[in-house]
Amino acid sequence: MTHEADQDARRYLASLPDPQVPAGLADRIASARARRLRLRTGGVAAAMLAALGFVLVVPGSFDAGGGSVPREAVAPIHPLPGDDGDRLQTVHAIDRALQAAYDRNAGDDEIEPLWRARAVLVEHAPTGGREQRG
Amino acid sequence: MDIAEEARLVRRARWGSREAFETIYSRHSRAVYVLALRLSGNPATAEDITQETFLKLLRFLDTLAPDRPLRPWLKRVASNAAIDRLRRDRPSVEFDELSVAGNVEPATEADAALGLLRRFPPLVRTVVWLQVVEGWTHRELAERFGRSESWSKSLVSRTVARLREMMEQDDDARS
Repeated sequence: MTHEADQDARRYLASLPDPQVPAGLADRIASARARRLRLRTGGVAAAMLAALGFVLVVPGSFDAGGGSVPREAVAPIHPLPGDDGDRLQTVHAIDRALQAAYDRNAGDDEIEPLWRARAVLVEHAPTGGREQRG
Repeated sequence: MDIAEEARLVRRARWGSREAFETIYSRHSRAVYVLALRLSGNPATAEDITQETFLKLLRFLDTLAPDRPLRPWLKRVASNAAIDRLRRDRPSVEFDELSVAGNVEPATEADAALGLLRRFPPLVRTVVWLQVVEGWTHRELAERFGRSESWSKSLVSRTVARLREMMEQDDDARS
């Protein structure tokens, strides 16, 4: 292929018209994305609840100092007691606030503190569960 | 688009922002769709590839480098998807087939987007577009199609020569 032929072909191909994206495609992708996000969010929420339930029922799994319950113990998930139930309510409230923030295109400075607060709540969740031991 | 701004959009999309994802889509979907259309030659397939590409973007948001522009990544994903379909759907087509067919005048918007390339087989069209317009190297094409570099060079060279003849004939017919 000569350089000239290459340039001619390149110019010709570059001059071809670009059609518009079909109008319905954005909605189709948005629907597929929403389905995937629901699945992902559901999975994450289930995992967090499982982790929260685990550390509430088996305090030794969270307490670095150890305890009478072996770390290896796997306990069933029970309803959250008193103040930890409130904590979970707060986590849900933060989730709603996060979604609302995304919907109104809030800035990173608003979203990041919400995520940090959520992480702290989950991380320090097991305090009320210690009373269940024994 | 400013890379810093794009990185901010990607970060927000990663956190679940619908608006950020929609902005990314609105800025890049046409380039992805048009490329998919030119490689596949079929509007419905191009839509499927575009959807697949943006859903893959969603899945890999966590791994994307923030200092790199998104479009080359998106186009690479779309190209690979088109090549996979091509190899899956037309395994018996000879790679160096150079027969030409079709009407001279484009009948649809998709035909117009393909130009004279629509008269070449899909495999030929794909290799030529990726090499001449998208800048893929012959080595990349050879690896992707499981062939040699000389196969890619020969295919592109012969197709471009034929394309140029067709352009001249087209000019003559119009004058």
